[in-house]
Amino acid sequence: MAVTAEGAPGDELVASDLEEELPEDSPFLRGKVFSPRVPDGEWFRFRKDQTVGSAAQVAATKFGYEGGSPTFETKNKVVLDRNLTLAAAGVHDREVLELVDAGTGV
Amino acid sequence: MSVLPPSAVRAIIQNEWPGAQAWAERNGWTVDLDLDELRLRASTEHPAVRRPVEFVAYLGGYRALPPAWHVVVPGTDRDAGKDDFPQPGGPGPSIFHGNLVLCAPWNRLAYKSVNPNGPHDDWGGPEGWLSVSGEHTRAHTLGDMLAAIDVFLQSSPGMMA
Repeated sequence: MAVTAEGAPGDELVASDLEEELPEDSPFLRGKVFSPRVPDGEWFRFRKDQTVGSAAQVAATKFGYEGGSPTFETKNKVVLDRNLTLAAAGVHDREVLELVDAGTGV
Repeated sequence: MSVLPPSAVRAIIQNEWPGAQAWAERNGWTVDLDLDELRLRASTEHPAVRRPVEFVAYLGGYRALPPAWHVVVPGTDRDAGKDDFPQPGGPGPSIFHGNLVLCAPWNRLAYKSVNPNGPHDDWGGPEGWLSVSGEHTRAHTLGDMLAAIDVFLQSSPGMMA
């Protein structure tokens, strides 16, 4: 299972990194990100103080996206504000996220 | 206008399809791909009013050209009127346009040069859809497009009428 370190797409961590409980004061969280481009999600490790936009960009790059305004959508279909930190956006450890674009219409 | 042979279009679609299909399964959409007709039908429930909403994309020429996305009367190929076309909503501009067109660079029908109801003559022709710049929604695969429609649908308060 590929687990990508924050800011360094492609760095893999061992599966046991997903099994261990992170201490509450850990600066990191782990998220499983799905893209509409491939069937399987990928695990990433992000810093909690990283912005949603920055974290989504890491995931987007890993999935082959170029440009755009990537962000995350939660299982409850909430599109997260790219400017918030992951912690402020309420993202929790082991959360499942969808990669979406935050661009506008019209 | 660039034209890709149907065999090339089918190869592109087949490459993208597993991701799009998996996205649909995760997100409660029904998708049906007709590779002979190069047509994708996608449906779900409008989250605010719990009514079916359905989209048909004609894929001839894809990806030299973007798909021609129609909002249709559910279960038919007829273009939706206001009763079946989602209302725009949310914090920013929506793709659900008052002309009853999905207004996005990835919809061939958004280009005035293709469709008289297309709102845009400022994006160049549809051949340049992959390089339209600005704050507009960006979706370069069929899965990305379905996800984009779903995002705007989530903030739609209902149907146009």
